Amino acid sequence: MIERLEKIFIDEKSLDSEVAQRAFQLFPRQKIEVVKEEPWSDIKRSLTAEEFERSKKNIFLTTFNGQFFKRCPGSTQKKVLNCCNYHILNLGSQCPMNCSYCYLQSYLNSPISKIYTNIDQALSELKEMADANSHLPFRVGTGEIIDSLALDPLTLYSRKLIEFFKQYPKWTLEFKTKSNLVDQFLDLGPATNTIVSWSLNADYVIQKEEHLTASLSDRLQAAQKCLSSGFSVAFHLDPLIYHEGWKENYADLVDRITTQFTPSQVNVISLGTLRFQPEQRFMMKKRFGFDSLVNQAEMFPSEGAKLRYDASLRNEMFKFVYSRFKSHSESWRIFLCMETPETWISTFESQPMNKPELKELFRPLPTISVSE
Amino acid sequence: MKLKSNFSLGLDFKPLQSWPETVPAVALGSYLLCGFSLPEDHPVYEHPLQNSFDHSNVLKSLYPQLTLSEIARLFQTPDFSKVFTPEPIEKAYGFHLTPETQEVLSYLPQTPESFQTLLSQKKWSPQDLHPLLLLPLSSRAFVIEELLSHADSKQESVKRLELLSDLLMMKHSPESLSGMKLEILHQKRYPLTTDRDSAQKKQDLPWLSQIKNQFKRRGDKAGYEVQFFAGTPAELNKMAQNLTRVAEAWNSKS
Repeated sequence: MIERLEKIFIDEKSLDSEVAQRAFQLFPRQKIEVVKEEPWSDIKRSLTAEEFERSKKNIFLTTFNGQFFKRCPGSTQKKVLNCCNYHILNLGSQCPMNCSYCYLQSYLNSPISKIYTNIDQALSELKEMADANSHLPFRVGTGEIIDSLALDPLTLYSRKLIEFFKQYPKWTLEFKTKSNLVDQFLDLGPATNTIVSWSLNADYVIQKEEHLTASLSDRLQAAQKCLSSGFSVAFHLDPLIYHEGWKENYADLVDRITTQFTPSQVNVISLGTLRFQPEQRFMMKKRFGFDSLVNQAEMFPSEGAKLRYDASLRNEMFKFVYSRFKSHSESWRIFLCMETPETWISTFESQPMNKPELKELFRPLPTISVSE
Repeated sequence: MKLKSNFSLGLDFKPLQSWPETVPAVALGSYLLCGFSLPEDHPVYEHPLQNSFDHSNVLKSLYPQLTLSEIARLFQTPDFSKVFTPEPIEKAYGFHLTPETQEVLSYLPQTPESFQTLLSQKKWSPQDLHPLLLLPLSSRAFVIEELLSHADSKQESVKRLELLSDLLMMKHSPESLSGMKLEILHQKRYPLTTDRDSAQKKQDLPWLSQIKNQFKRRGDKAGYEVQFFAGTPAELNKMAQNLTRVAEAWNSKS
């Protein structure tokens, strides 16, 4: 994955960082440029399709001066954690892979990929939170605005994070990826409070929409490696994308998971259907055209202002995938990601708090403050 | 004061509002800024033209509001770069400084005048035109003709543009889309949902004749809008019982 990077810009203030030193070992010198300022920093607006493409191939190693640790998006309260148990640790931004539906297309306005070199500062921020709340089961993910592992062979941040979380057994670290890059941390297992999770899709959808990602087989094989080394694994079947033959293709996906893993081996499975911000559609059409299933999709404004499939189609897709899992075993722990209570009820005939296998995951945690 | 004949017409962007004959026109240095169509002997006030000075405030004072088409035409005038730079003007008139906006502004003057007028009248924004930019030049002419030939509201026009742009990119031929009602274009763009909605619409449900019902789509949901009048508690009860029967029948069919 890192071989696809065309240029590595290193902030001169980050020259002594471990990541910068590793970049010098991994890349030919002509690919590296030490700079005083962020490249293309004059661009202070939403990116064009061409600028977005470029931002995937160029990376800036620099420090981050803001708050690394945040609540998951959707939260409107600031400074207070009214916990939904999921939190975000942002150690960089942008992704070298190229999924047609990626929400970063409407979310990012930085013209270059970034890796924050001051991970020690991030860990000390996290330590403050963890020390104060070590008895509570917080979940922390690193894959919100960057794939957790796609650039890990360069940063090796997985190793620092796994070691850090070993000190807080009640806390859970979640890597979320579409790569198969796990070898660099397997020797640190067992570490059951590290969940390595994969965003999975039907083979057909991966080939059509998830460009430059690992194949389904490679992702599942990487998950097996993690299990064997004592890590937890989880799968996100998200976004489910409607297409001709979707039932056969998603049945095949579920069957491949259920034949290769048992319910007790998989921490949780989340389901989500295609959704995106309306302003993203212009960029997606320009970048991927109408061969893309995402641009062909029949999308409608829904609650939360995102565009989604017709509610009855969403229900049909959720029910199909859910039933397929449950036909193999009732023990699969499955939940819906970013869905309305109506969809929960029409799919599961109940809310998450009423489902014994999901109760723990959705149980609200006490409110805690984050210092800035 | 000097006479209009002494000034250049190189900034004539064909403003929609004509300058009143009863007041002098205004020029920036030797470049006339308004009253382009007034007689040659019309008096003109000459505002000094200073180098490296933002003159967009003078323009804004003369034209508190300019439409997208007018700004696009102004940018294309032969003397524009001698007097202005685009950014302060875009800012003064509330446009976002994106490359897409620049593309819209440079493309618009190439379109038929009637289209430019339509955009001005309906107060289109640069973002409204983004679907047009996705199309090759050859298809844009067809879409513009379609937009001009329908007496749509602004909202309908914007919708029509996006539907036509999508359908052309989905390889529908212009002939198959020409002259279509908005509803038909929508059905072509959303065939799966149209079929699902039609099937649901055709459901024979046991509604009481006193309960007006209409099948509707609202965003990502489709369902029934129900209206009835109950004059007594007994009537209300009767309606409620009927609604329960309808719900059961609907549930058994879905």
